[in-house]
Amino acid sequence: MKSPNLLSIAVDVLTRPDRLVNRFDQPSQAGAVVGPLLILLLLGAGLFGAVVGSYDGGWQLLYAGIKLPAVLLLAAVVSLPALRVLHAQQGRSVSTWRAGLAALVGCARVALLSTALAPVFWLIYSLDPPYVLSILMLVCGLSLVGLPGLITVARALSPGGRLRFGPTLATIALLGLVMAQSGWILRPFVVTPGAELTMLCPRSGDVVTGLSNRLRGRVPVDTEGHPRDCATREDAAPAQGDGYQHQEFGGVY
Amino acid sequence: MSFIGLPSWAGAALIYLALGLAVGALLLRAGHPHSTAASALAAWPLLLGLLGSSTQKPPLQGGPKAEAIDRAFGAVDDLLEQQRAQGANVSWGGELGDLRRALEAADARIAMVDHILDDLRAASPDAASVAADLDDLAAARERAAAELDAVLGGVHRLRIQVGLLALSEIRDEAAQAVQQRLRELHARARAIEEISSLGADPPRAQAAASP
Repeated sequence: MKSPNLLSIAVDVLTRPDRLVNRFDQPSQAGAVVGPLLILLLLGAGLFGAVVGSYDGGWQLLYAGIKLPAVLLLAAVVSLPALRVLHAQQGRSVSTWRAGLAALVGCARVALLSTALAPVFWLIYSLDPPYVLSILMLVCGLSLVGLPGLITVARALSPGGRLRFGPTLATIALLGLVMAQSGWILRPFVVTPGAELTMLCPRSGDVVTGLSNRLRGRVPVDTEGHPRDCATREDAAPAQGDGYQHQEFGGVY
Repeated sequence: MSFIGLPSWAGAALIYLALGLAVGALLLRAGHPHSTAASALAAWPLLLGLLGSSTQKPPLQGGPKAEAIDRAFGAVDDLLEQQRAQGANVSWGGELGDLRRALEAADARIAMVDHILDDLRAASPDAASVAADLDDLAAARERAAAELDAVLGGVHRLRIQVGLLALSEIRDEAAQAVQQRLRELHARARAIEEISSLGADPPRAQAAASP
């Protein structure tokens, strides 16, 4: 079998991901696709992460560029065993390698699609949108490009490649939630106003509560009134309150 | 929280990379290319399925009826075990094993044909002749699957016969009937074992090309 190049694999990931999984689902063929898929994943998601990091600039370009591919990989690694068991209930389980390949192809698809969104994000972030809007855009953008990748994984794990409503919905819900929580654990991608640029924030809460608070302009604060989810900027103004600080997120901070 | 003086996330990353290094080394030893081994550094949990597999082509794997075959033969095996425990002379273990292997081989071939069909249908072939050949292959696959189902049904009936054997007063005659049934089933299983039996009709394209 002729080894495909990076470009042909990228085309297959975008247009015929099922065929790609079926074609290389024997371990003896892994060498032809693993490297290119990982390169596509790292480059695509890395570029999109760097564009998201451009909202804050500086080191955040690098931090977000490293962390976004990690979010995709982390979600796939954590949820794949559960997804295999879920789809095995349909009567025929897929091999460990096919499941891993399906996850790689799904993640690479998300990464490539997010690259397509990168110019739009770069343009909008260069206009200094409000913090809440930038967070909302990021969530919507990742949901938009994430869905085709999740469906790819669900289809590749299903016997005969046929989508069934229950397992597909469960795959999308489980993988989507794990991906969202992975993003929350590896935050910040868009830095909270008042917090300094940092690689990782201390763990706190879950993605639903955290995002909900941020979209309502509520940032958790410590007893001194500094944002407590990430390291605080020295010049951040302290505020009093009930453990949350209401912030106006308009313009450049 | 810290790990040997490093922040916890750096410690976790180091452990992850160390495990990736180990998986990469094992992949190299199994004959996988350097690119695959290097990829293990970043995504080793997704490549665990490659461990223990050489780069040589593996044997055919279980097909769509693997579970049904397992269930049917498991039930017969249990029954024979009970008969033996009661002192009955049931000595068809070897023939049953041959029958099971023949059915598993046929099942694996059906899985292979499924794979080919999925692959070719995903490619959406334009040529009418290819589409016609695909239809022929799909029809042959259905015939083979139906024959496999029929043999499996025979295995279930065999179980009934073995049960009757326990109640029969003329055990030798009943035992011969069971053995005869086993031979028939084995012959049918061997018939679907032949790949040529998958397609009773020649592909239409070949038929059209021949004078």
